Amino acid sequence: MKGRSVEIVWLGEVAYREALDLQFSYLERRATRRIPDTMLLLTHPHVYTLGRGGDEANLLVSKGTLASEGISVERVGRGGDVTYHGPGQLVGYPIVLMEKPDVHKFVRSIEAALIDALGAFRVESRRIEGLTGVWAGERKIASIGVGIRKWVTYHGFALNVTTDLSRFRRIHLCGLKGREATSIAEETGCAPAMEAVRDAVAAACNRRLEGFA
Amino acid sequence: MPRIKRKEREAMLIEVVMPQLGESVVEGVVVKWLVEAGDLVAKDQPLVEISTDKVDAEIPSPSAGRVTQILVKPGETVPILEVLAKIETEPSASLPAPEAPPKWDEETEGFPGHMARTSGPPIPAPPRVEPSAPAPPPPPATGRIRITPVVARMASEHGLDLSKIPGTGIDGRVTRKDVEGYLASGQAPSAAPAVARPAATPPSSAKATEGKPVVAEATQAKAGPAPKAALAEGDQVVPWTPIRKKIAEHMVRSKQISPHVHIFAEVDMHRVAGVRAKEKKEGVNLTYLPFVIHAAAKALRETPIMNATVAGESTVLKKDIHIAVAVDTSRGLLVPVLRHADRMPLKEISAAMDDFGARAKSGKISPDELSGGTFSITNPGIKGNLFGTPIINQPQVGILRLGQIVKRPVVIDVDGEETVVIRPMMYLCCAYDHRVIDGVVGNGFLYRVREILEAGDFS
Repeated sequence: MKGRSVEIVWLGEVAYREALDLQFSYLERRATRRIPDTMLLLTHPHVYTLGRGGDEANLLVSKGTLASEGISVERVGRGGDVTYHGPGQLVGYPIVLMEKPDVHKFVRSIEAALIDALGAFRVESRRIEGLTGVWAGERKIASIGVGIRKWVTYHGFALNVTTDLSRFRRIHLCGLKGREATSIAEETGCAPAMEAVRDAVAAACNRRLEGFA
Repeated sequence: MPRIKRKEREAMLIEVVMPQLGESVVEGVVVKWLVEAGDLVAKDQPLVEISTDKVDAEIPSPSAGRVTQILVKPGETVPILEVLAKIETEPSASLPAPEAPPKWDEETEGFPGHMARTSGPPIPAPPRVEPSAPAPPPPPATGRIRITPVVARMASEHGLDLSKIPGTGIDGRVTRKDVEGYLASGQAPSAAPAVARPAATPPSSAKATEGKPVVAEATQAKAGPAPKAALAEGDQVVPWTPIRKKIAEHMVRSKQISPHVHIFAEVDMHRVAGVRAKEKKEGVNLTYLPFVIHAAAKALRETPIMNATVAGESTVLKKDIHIAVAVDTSRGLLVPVLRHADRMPLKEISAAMDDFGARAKSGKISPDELSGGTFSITNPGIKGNLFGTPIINQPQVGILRLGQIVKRPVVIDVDGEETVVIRPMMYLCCAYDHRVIDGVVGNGFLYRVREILEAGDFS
């Protein structure tokens, strides 16, 4: 009973909207305590998402061009600006009930878990004070954006494993002009299997988020 | 946390304050009010969206009642514990509030998945990493039962039905002691703890070495307390594998979202059979499927709306023709995608399908090859029966299904004379999404596929 840890659920590739629905479905069940804290791990097909305050000017390619490539642009009820999700990127959505909410500690725990996991692949990474996310040098390797509803967290992180980084050059990354994205493959020159990264991140999240709430 | 003031005997005034969302969080911004002054709200109904430097949060109502005052405007930054709004509880509001429909972001309005959620049954649980781990226990039947979080957690961990436990607390509430007593008395179902890891169930390892699957152990744990329904001796409970759950979820969603229209064409395949026979003499083995793929790709090029996907309330006409072809494997149904099928000669299509088939068996199809389809074809094979009505592969708008090819006497016209001949015939079914495609276009498409197959020109 003690040492309550986080259930890890691997979903494979899930479309962005579908994953959002799933998060809310999990969130409702977590809010009514029908399920334990859960971390949904998955990947998305190509998609650009804009936060509530997101400026379409930060999309450097027209929506029409993207649509013709079958890439959708989704406006989402989260904070933050524009970001990209797609194949080769591990996405994690923690569905964690915050009985005593400490959102700073929560975000720091996720950052710490990702830094741990990246270490296993010989990528040295860090936080940058005042900026959310995980950074390898001056380049962003994981974005984080958390929401809370009914005292349960949703949204989460996106870690670039073998992401096609040219996709980020079509946006001003999270509104931070001039900031660049990187990936594990870019940093190390070799592409780890998604499954290996998934398992490392799952283990790190279990350590860092255990008994969080 | 709410501060509660007693106003009169029944009604109370509750202040909703800017919550402290962390030790180092001193203020938050009010982003948007989700209710107005005067609104009746249910307990836990989201009242207001706030934003800190790290996260956005929705503040749920601490109680059922009426919003009497809203004190902070959107955009204002407010220190923690400052009052944001006041809620007057109604005498009747102290009863458990009915589950209010959650107020969703308007951004999500109008998307199929969203509509399916609010109006349809809940989304089924998706696949889990460890199929052998027991699923969360069924929710305790907490109709009128009020319990503390500790008790809820204990019930959840032990898979207990709280309505079965006599409560000794206020109003007959079940307390922690009651649960502990119940567990100690041995009346509890011997369910494994909800969050047990495989390592925490040593008996299973012994059984596993005897060749019995560990899954059986988990099945009992899961099926134990859940449906006490009619399980006769000898019945087998087979939990869904992750891929099975995914298929189930996909199929239900498609049937909910798309009004399927199924139409049938009877296709004379004798020219196709002729081409096959000719190729066979040259040592090339072709099945019927590549011909149908070829014909469909050609017809799709002429009927762009059939080669499309749905995004929200828009149809995306796809530039490229990527045909998803259902392949049955030992692991379940897989649907690899043949990219640019319209640019491929028949033999290339055939080779690609053979390659998919072989790799699907050995589990070596990459996820990239399973996504991006713009139209689907399913071929249930030689035992596929006369015809069937396929389910559209979302977010596409059409799918073809091959029927069994059967030799039948048919009436044809030879030099103005009607004659009965024996021909290999096939019923070809097309399902289309009537949200997007109307009868004339849908029928025209299938008719065209038939024409191409019957003409027998596959160059």
